[in-house]
Amino acid sequence: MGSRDSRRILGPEKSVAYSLLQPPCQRSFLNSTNTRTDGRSPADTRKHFLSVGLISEAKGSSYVEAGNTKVCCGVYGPRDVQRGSDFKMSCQVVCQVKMSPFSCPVRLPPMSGDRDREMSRQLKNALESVIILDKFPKSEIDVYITVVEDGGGLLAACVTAAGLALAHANIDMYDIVVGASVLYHDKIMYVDPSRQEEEFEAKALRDPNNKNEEWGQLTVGMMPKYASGQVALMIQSGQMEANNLVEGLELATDLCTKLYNLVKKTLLEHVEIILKEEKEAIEGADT
Amino acid sequence: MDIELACELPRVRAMVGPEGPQRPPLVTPGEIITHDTSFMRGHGTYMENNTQVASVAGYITRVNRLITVTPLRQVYQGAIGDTIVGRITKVQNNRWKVDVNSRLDAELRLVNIQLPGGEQRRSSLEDERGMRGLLREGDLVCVEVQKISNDGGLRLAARSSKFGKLSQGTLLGVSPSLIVQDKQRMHDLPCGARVVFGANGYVYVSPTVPEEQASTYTVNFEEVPVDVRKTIGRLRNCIKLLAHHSIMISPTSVMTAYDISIEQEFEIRDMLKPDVMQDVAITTVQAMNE
Amino acid sequence: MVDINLSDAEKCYIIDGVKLGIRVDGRDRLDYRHLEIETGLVSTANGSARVRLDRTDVLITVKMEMDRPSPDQPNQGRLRFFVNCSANAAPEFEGRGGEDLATTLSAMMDRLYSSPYTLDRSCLCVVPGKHVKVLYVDIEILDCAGNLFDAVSIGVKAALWATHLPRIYVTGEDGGELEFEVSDNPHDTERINVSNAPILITHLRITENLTIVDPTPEEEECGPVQVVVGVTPSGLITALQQLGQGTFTTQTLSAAIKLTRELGMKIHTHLTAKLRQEESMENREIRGFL
Repeated sequence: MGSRDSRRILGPEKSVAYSLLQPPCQRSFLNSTNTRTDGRSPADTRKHFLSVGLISEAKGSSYVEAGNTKVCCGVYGPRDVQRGSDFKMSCQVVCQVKMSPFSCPVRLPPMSGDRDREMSRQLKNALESVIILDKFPKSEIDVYITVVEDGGGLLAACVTAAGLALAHANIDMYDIVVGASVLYHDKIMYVDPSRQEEEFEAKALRDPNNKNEEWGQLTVGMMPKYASGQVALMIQSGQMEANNLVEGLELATDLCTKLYNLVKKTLLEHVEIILKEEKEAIEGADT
Repeated sequence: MDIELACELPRVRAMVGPEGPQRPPLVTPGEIITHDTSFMRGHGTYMENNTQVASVAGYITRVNRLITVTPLRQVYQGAIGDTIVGRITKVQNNRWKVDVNSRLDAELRLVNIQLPGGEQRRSSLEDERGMRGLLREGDLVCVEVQKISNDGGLRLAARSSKFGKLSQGTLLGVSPSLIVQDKQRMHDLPCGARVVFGANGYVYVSPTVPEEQASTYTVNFEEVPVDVRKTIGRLRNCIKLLAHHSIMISPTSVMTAYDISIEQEFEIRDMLKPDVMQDVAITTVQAMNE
Repeated sequence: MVDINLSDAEKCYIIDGVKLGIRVDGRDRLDYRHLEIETGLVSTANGSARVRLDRTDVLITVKMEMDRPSPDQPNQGRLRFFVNCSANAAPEFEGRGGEDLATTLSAMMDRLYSSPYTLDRSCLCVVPGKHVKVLYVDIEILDCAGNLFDAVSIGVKAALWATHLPRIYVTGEDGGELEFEVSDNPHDTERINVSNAPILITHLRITENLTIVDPTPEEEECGPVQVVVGVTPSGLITALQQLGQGTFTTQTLSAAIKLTRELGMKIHTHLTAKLRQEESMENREIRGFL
């Protein structure tokens, strides 16, 4: 419960999302034809759409859309340390992930919640291993992520967006970091889970007698080319056998490699567009 | 992995101490020592209404007409000529600030160290810029106390070849009151390791260093072999257990504990267990009393 | 964690030691230090435990309160974790200094116990849809000397094991509101089933693809990146998170995960055996902080 926010008009305190009053429907993980609800096979990722240069004020910015997940990221810096007085010989990374109130089916309170803060912390940890911090003593780099819609695989999308935006901002990095997530359900690995699949796993009624039932979700943030693949972020929830987890890790790293190519392509296309525009501007000035 | 229940473990007892009438009187702050004003006041006391009152908790020592109260565990005060081990905390213009387990950080001036190159020379501007090349934040040094300034801060010097930067090894911190007074602080123990018993409680255990290499400002990053590591590990655990049981730490006590642990065939990692520690401690005290 | 500045020589010694398979204190890469447990220290709490892993000291208490259930889980009780880093543990925890560590630790514990199998929350339900029991687990860090996560997770399991919840009887209904009676009888209590409660194992990556378990503060300085893996008594991996600034290769991560399984199962059996032993002791002397 946050303190009363006088800048906003809040709903009445006892209000509850109507979806909680609906009778719970027993959804199943797969639809009637035993495929995933959006028609993909377990090894198919969703279509990713990446672009840079969304936010004109930011030094670097990016927008990542994967299925229904929409995330935009802005990078500011390197600039002088905003808060705090003592300088450090390496750069400080400030990371803030903000979920918009409309990003989930149940409205989120405007103040940042536990999930926001945790994602911010995890992302900051990952980015500190990706950026070459020694190049920017006494400065800070700010990474702000706004989640427009959470359609599943959120942290992975945030990682990719951050990596892309940092590259767009021309900040020295060891490699571009990309993120991927996999879901383990009923002995099968489902790649790039959607929100329905994630929620099903989180809220499923478990048989208390079958304690060794395996399920889980794994998010991996990775630099595919640096030193033959380095994992900068790895978070797992649920419970899985060690071997299955290792299998999931390998699957996620494969995904990252594929996504990496798409990220590279986006950046190179962006550079080409800029060069073309410059050329046209020069030609236009000549005539 | 061994998990023990707290109720099963032996209680830590201090192993040594004079019993009976030999025991010096203990006082707590505020306790009146004497009403006799002819005594001189030493450290640890203050005068009030013509009575001498203790200001720290400790034991009274009386030397002729001087009464002092020495606390049992005190931060290192410093004495001129002491050899101590310190860690560099700051690099400033022409001096380094060193943490020596005392009230204040001590000072080591550039002019007070033996500059690389061997021969004596005045430190130039270049040397000042290159200070970080000699000693950086975090480095360990073995130095001598040259002077004590009026605020209690120590001035250090590393003027001879036996002082200087310490190479590979491991540092232990114990209470300075447990270190036995000794002129020689650096000992090459027969088991094959070199131990520096800093008077300030910092004890540094390292592999034996051949004479020529001692005290250069370059660190030897050569890999230390496994048997030397075992010796160092065992010595480290011995010193830790002696400190835990409040036994005075000196080359003899450390070597006794080391020999006992080898005799009783304790594994090095087993010496971290409380019952083994107590075993070795009791045996060491007995062996030393003989 | 706590800030220690090590010299390059010390770091080199530690890292080479791990490569050669013998750590500074003689341990293997997979050896834990000595662990001490005691439950039932705090009489005002429903359950409490204290864990000491060498110098790392944590105190866990469990208190029960009644509350309304969350709307999407009407038959389930709740478990909330709060971590407080006492300023005693390290000077930098003073004021808000320890907040970062505290939030990371409580988020990790939340994720560890988020699975419904770890703790059966439906037995914490008193009246479905109206009243449930909420267990507040308060974790107090008294001293931080490396490997905090492991010690805390073991402590939480021990504290939950030792928790006695008074039985609550519904006596009647008065104008729509239910009346309760909390049993006064100290022996009329319920226990929590922790047979599937997980623990955490921290793997610190020191160099290339070598990881060590149970790092000391000096070792934590040398290898900044660690992966914290949760493991249930049946060997399933829960709640894995990579912490710290640094990266892993997939091979190192896979090796660490597989290692956790074996190590975790051993620790669980040992811990449960010891807790049972402690409970069966009659007239057990509670050591507490003495």
